[in-house]
Amino acid sequence: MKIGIPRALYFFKYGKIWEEFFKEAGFDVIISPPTNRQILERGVALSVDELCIPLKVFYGHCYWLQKRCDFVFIPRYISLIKKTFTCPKLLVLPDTARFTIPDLPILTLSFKKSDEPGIIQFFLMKCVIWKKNGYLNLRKKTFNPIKMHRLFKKLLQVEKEKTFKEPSFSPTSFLEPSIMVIGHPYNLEDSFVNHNLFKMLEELGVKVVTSRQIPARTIQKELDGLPFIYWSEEREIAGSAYFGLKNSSIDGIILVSSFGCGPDSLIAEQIVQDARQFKKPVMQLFLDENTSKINIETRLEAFVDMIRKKERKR
Amino acid sequence: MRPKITSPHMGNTYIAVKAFLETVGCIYIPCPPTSRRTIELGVKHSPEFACFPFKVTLGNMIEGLERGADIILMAAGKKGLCRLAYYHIVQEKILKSLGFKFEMVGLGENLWEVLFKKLKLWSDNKSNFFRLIKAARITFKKLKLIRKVENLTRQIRPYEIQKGETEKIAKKALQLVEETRTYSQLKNVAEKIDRLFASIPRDSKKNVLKVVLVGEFFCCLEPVVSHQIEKVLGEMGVLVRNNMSAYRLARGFLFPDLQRWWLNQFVARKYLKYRGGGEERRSLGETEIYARKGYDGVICLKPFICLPENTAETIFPFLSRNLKIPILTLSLDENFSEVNMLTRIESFVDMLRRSKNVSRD
Repeated sequence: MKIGIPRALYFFKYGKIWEEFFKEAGFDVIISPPTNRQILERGVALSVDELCIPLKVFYGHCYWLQKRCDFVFIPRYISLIKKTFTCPKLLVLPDTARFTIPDLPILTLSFKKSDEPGIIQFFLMKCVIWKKNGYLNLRKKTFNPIKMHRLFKKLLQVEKEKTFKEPSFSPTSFLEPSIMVIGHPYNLEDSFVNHNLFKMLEELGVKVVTSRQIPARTIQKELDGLPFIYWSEEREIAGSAYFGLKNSSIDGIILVSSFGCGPDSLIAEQIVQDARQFKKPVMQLFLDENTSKINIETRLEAFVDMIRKKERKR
Repeated sequence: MRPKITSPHMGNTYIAVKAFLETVGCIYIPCPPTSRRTIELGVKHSPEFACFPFKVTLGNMIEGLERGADIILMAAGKKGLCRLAYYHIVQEKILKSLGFKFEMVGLGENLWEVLFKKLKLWSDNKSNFFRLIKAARITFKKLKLIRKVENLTRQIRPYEIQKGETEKIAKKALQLVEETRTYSQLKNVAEKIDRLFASIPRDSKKNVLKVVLVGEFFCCLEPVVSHQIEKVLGEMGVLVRNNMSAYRLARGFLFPDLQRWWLNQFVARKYLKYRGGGEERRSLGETEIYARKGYDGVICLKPFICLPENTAETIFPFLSRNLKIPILTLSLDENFSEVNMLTRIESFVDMLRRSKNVSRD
């Protein structure tokens, strides 16, 4: 029994947990390759033209997996933090995937408040697998929903402890300008979509700070002073952006968002409006399937040059 | 000195808002009606990828503030998933950076606080609890009458003999609703409206097509945004059904909307297992219901890159194939021209006629 995991969207945040979970539960796991031209083009052809690029990439990955495995794992992340929600498009992801790619065998789990899914959900997942393969073929393996639930809980605990120990942000070098790059993990870590953004910045001789290096407590402190943001992902972005605006060791902020991203469009505007008070340069980079490497290169160079000039003036 | 209150437009809703605030004892300045200038102003100052209602309401606010308003009432801020609940925060930031001095009030966020505390400060009389009830009754009655006028217009327009007559009568009826001040008089207005519309000469033997409008509520209710699509369709001889109304939205603030609940739980549940933040389930559910009822087509109006309606658009091809009903999706923004709309609507209606074998008259 093979289970495919598309390398898109929340894979970059929780992919390790899913992979380990399915391996320990006794499945074979296939992870789709890093995004390439073919996958992107297939995704663009499949989906509605107004969707954002991460979703188009996601459908491309699903199509790649369709014929290579028995089930494609598409989780439904409802909320990552209490009282907040993820993007409306991601809430209905398993449903829309069913209609975008016909005959796609889907395994799904719903996540709320970044907890583990309930026992019933594992039971439903088991039923889906039974329905396809027949009860008798699978009886030998361990498919107990309670055990699966326990296993997932354990894996989450391990992952949480790991993230707790991550090195926090510390301003050390003053020789090179440090730039904060903020955005959704699926935009920042998919190097095909953002055309190796981090490598380009490295070549320009810039120290890069991401929102992962900032401790969660600091982000929460920044958010307390803002009107309540009800998108879980955007909370991290806004919190770290305001931290960057107030911290003197950060020279500039780059906001990376995809074309047509709904939550980003308003939160980014809020950040840009407030950046005038703090007198910090902020640049918005929009990614879509037509963005070229040269486009991003030119804008980054201009931005870094501007920051260097500003420092020399001081 | 009482502050002047304004609120952005949504179709004919300003009549009810005006009635409410004036009965309570506040000063209300309606924004100038939405025009090309409003949209241009809004587009100029709003972020690039904000959705179209954001831009239009921002333009309305700027024009209202230019008239000298001090307070903006914005019907946004109800806890939600879609961008609508975050509108007023960003709009306040943008308008303040433009140099206006005002107070922004998000109605959904603190409706009860606005009703029982803030209205007292804004109005001239201090004990306004009974006035509030009176005002609420008048407002709901007016909203109901507005819905009635709109529905009658939609029903009669395809049958009219002289083009444009229904439009005139509708304007007259709306003016009647706007001018009436007391609850007891409003009761008579309903009959008057019936009589007015009955006086329109019509050709009841005409073969008409039936089309249902679904989609995002602002685009369905504001005719300027969609270049008066209902009027265009009506004059082509198409009976338009639009279930969205300001009355329904206002009632949804106070009481549970049973119709929506039923649509969500029993009709659209097949397609979406979880809510997508907006009215995508209404679009899907109504498409299915009206396809079963024998309607000829569905037109979905949505702002460009609307988050929830994108979900619906993904599922529309499947619905269209399964239920054998043609669906046309129009995504509206500032570059969506009238000619564009006319061409697409004309070809759509022609296609419907051919499939139903209805002659042109």
